Amino acid sequence: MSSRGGKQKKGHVTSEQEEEEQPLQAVLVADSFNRRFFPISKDQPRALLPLGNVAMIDYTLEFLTSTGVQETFVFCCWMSNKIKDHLLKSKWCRPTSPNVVHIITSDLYRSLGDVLRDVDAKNLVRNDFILVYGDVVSNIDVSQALQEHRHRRKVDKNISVMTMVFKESSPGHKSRCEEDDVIVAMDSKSKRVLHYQKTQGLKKLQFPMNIFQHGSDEFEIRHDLLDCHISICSPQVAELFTDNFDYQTRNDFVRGILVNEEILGNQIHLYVTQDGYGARVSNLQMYDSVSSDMVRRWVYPLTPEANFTDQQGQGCTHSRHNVYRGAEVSLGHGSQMEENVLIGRDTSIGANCHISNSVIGNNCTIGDNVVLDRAHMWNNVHISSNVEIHQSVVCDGAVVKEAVHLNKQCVLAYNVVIGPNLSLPEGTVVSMHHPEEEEEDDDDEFLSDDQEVGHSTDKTRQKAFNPAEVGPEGKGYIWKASMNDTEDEELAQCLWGLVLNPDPESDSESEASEESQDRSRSVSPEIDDVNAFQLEVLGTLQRGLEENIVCDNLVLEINSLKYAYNITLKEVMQILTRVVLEYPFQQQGTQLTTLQYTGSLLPLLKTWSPVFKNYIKRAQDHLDCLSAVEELFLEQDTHQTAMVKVLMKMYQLEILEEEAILKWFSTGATNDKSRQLRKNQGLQKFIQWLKEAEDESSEEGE
Amino acid sequence: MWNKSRDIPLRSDYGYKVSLFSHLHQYSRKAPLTQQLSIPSTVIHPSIVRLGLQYSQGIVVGSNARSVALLHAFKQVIRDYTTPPNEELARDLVNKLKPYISFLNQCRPLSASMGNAIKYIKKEISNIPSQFKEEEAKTKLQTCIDRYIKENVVLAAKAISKYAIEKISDGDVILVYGCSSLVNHILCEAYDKSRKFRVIVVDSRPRLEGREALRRLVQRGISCTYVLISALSYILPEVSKVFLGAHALLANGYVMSRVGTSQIALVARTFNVPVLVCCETYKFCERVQTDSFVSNELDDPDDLMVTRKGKTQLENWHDVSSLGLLNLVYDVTPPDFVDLVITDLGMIPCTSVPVVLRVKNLEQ
Repeated sequence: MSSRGGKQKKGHVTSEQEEEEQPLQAVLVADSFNRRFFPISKDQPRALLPLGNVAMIDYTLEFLTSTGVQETFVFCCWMSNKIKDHLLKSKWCRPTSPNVVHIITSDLYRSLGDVLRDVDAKNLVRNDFILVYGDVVSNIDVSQALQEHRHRRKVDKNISVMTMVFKESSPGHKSRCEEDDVIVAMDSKSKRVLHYQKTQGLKKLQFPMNIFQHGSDEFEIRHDLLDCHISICSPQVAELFTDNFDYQTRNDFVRGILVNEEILGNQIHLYVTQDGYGARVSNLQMYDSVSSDMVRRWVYPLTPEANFTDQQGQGCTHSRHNVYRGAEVSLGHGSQMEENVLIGRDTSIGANCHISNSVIGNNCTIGDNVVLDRAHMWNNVHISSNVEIHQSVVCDGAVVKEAVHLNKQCVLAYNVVIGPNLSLPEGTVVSMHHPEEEEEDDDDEFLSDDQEVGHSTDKTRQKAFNPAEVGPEGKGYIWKASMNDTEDEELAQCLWGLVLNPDPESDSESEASEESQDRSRSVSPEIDDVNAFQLEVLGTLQRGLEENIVCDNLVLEINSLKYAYNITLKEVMQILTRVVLEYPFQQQGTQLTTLQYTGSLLPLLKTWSPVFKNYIKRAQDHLDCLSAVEELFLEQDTHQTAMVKVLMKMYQLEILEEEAILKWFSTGATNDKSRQLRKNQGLQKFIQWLKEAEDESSEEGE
Repeated sequence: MWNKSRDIPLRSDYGYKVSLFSHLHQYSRKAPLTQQLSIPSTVIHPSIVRLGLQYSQGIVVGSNARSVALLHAFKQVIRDYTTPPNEELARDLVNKLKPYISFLNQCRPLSASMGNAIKYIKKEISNIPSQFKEEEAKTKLQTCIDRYIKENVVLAAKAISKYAIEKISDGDVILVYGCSSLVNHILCEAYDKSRKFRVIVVDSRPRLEGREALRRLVQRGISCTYVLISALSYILPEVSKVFLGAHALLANGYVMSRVGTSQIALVARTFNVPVLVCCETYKFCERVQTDSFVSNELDDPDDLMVTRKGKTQLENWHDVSSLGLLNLVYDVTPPDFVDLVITDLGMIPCTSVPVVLRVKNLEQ
């Protein structure tokens, strides 16, 4: 670390002299390091996917150039040749370009961390630099943020290492990516980040206490921020990535810096802007919303008709209701372009079409009576007559035959042929790549989704297309029925991101799912001390049974657990009772008959009676234990008849005293259900018997 | 500084006034009447003080909202009223209301609708027979007020939307200006009756009330476009109908409404787009006015200052002696530009206002 310090100091001295002359540098990561856009990005890297008929990386480069970046390092990994070819052809590599673009390719990059470590190794950056991904679309003027960053660095002697650019936008805004939702605690005056947490999937947020004690008068906790994925970094950032080889993403980095703030003394700041536009196309949902924002001119001056890529024939005209037409577009009789439509050059559209909120690429042909709504069609797409497409992506070279109906969130990847006379269900992804290529073990699952036809051709399926899926003349395989997957992990990986349609109705759904999550939580640890304790007790007893541990040791273990989870004695008893009574269900499933249940429970009670006796001593303990028993049997109302036997056994084992049972029976009823329970015939008899026994014993005593 | 008869402090004028409008009052929002001078609580009822503050701070805005708030405040006043000994309720209460009204007028000049409401209340009070007991009289007045609100505001809006919906056909593009509660109500009703139309909300500085209208309409799911008034002639070729709210309808058929309305009516007329004014009959007024100079309202000139990108334009306008800021609130639209007035009595031309007024007077 000491050598680093020396190096930093030297760099600082030189940078102070050269600060003005130093050109502003940027690091552009033209890879997402995830497979979110699969299968589309199997054929084309994400940075080159067209958004408004312009490759996404061009937006990022234009943004960087307009903020005054003079030197950009583009790091490519996946399909680096394609990106290289694209950039060499573009205006960025012309000699007149104000922004010198260096392309650095390597197949070894696996994460953002690798890229930044390489930046450090090659010693590429000399001063503050801007770090962006190749799929960021923005028109934010970061010069203000840059100035603030430099000022902070000058005043605080390089303490601030990174300034993240955020845009204010209310939660639920469609340009906010659910996966990037963060909650940030920051100092209002210095804009320093005190706490940074992704909120996706979290129901509870925790803030460390020390952020409240930081001595600053005002601080804010904000959730109304949209992460633009633009960060202004000091050269130390690259060094820090090298020092901490476990940092993979910027998120790791930010968390790491904040955790180690006391030790390393590095700080991270925020720049929050109200105006401007900035978003990262991190999934197809975002692609859809960024594309529509682009057509609606929110990213002005980066509009479709501006032709900022300066390419021949890319220009288009802009007319009312945001309708853009490229050169040589032909529109059939009676066709309507309602609003927010972008049509690329040499595209011909048939008669009586109805197009709204769509982007259509170059050289497409569209037949008659076609309805397109929120469709994204790339280049060389052929659409026959009577087709209906809603909120879907159709990639280069795809062919949609007659009378095909694409429901929401379908994706037709490169060169797929669909139809004729077919309706694709919501969320279908069709690709020329067989899913088998990717995951061998995905096969069975994939097949089970198939219909009868698919099943019969089971063995010969190898390279044959399934006409039930893609139509009689279709070509392509269903990639994955991603929408049907209920597992959270799978969902997070799917093309369209998490939120499908943020409509008010989805709220009720999410509430419902909340409940189910709550239920699943009782199984997963760490949620609640009491629940965790219950699980631990269960584990202890299980082990005790398997390994024949003496009851005294079990008591010891439970006692230590009690202190570990800060559980009161009363709760220990209730939980213990509960665990023991539920034990047969735990081991043999809930479908036990009452007979089986009692059969397996009673020996257990006998085994563990010393444990019970250890905890149940005072009169109140007896009552608590009884109420726990009662509670359980109220839940398991099919096994209520077993209750008598349990009580009987506990009485015989001298776990419970008869006075306590009688007292519980006479006074414990608090609601209808428990009153109902007490009317149970067996129980009545048992109580009767107890009373008589008491009388007898008292008589005997006399 | 004190108004002799009514014990109400006069509010001081604020800033330089444009000479043509020097006869009007111009107040600063930052110096409300209640702050300047302490008002003895015996003189003015607290609910009136609160209402006055709400008026002057622009918390309660809009002709309808202001009259309804006024009526509710009066209800409160009547509830808390006790007739002093040796006095008659009918006479004393009217006298008691007078300083209240002049206080409210100081906070913000009364609207025509409020004038009508006050006239109605006064008449109802003086109509109370002297043999009525106090409680009896108070209950009667309160029910009168409730009825007035119900008949003239709530039911009128229902009736107007019933008529107006007939004028909205599928595929219409309707232009609205600012935030009129009545027009919003009509559009929402029409949308609920599944008429297919699109709305263009035109807005103007400094109040930007159109944003509120936009918010309400979009919340209902109506497809909207939002433009500023400067883009009016660009957007008008798409428009098939213009719906306007009104502050008051004058006896000569002129429509008094938020400044900018006459501009919209004029441009719409040149594009041959029908202009429909929606107005409850309780806003009809016997005044005659042909221009916006004689009687109008000046709002706080500081509202015209804008802060953009951290810089406030016009910040030091006080220091420039030759500069005056004019923040007019209303303008009048000549009847020539208005094709139709939709009222709770039906659809009438502007020129029929005197008829309606006469019929109303006969009724009362």
